[in-house]
Amino acid sequence: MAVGLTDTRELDAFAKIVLPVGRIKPEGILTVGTAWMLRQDGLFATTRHVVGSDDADLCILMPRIDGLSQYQDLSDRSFQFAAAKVEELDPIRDLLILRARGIRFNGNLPKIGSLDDVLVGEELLSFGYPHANERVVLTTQFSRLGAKLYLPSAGTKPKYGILNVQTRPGQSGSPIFHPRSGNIVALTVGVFKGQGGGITLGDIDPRELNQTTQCISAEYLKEML
Amino acid sequence: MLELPASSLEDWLSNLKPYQKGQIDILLRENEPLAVAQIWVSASGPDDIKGFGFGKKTTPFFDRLKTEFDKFVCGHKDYNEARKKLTAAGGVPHAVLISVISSSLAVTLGVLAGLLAPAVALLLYTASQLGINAYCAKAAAEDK
Repeated sequence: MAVGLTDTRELDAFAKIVLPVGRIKPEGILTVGTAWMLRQDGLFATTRHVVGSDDADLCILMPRIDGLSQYQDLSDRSFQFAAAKVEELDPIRDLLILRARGIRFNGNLPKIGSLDDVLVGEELLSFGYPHANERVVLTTQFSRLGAKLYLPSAGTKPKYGILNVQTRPGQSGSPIFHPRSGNIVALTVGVFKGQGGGITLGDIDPRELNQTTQCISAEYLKEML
Repeated sequence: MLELPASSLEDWLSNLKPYQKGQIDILLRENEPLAVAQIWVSASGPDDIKGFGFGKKTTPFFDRLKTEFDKFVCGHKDYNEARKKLTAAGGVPHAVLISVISSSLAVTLGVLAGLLAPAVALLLYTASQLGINAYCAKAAAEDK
């Protein structure tokens, strides 16, 4: 799956395997984050905070495009979905595996890699659904790995990376693809916010508007399968 | 009250998934089992990251978990039916105890059983080390 970085046609499979996570509400489906297919029989990875602590009324929305370069029709608000249940969750590393009944993929899936395989400065691609609470648009972003770090979490030190790209709510769980290895090496988690209070403007905290997106190494998912 | 085998911590934790046990083992280097149970169910990733999902916020519930666990193992009527599943000649396997109790408490607390299993294993170890009578007496005293 390694490609030249200006031609994304070989990456069209991501349009079928990177899908929004939703909650079924009386008023419709509320999209809450991004998940991607780990196994062809409907096993998906995302972050735990996308789902929380219960999986009632959880679903995965079906793909609406066949390739990344197709126009996505935002006038069409009808979504097909498959019910989803949590198979595994790791509250410390903020990772979660979902099973969605009725979604299959017959192509080759990218392998799960690790941030160990990536050099700082190397190009990475992410696929996700920014602003997912307002609209559903699969968006590809290019970035570079800015740093590798051990980030303390409840007394443990998982491996994280910093991407020099800005992300927005809805992109949690997005797969980070490493073109050189052809592997998914990390998942988007969020941004550095630091400690202490801040201000919000129109529901946006200005401290979140930075280009230091935090991602966790994908290797931990292997232990959860 | 529920009969509990007086097993080692390793016996209880060996029933967890490797990704759960690996992290629990790390946390146990610097924390008591009961504290680790609380850390596990209360964790939500690194403190200084703002997550970019729209999931429901997780609220701390360890105190409620401990209360319901005590009710389960100390014979409260709310869990009579579930406890009936845990009576077998020769003792109930650790994995079944963890699974049945986690599932029952998950329904009461409205959370995923998979989140509770490591904490329940640690609570079972704590109760079994004290002996179920002493544990329940202590729990009742703390509840007053």
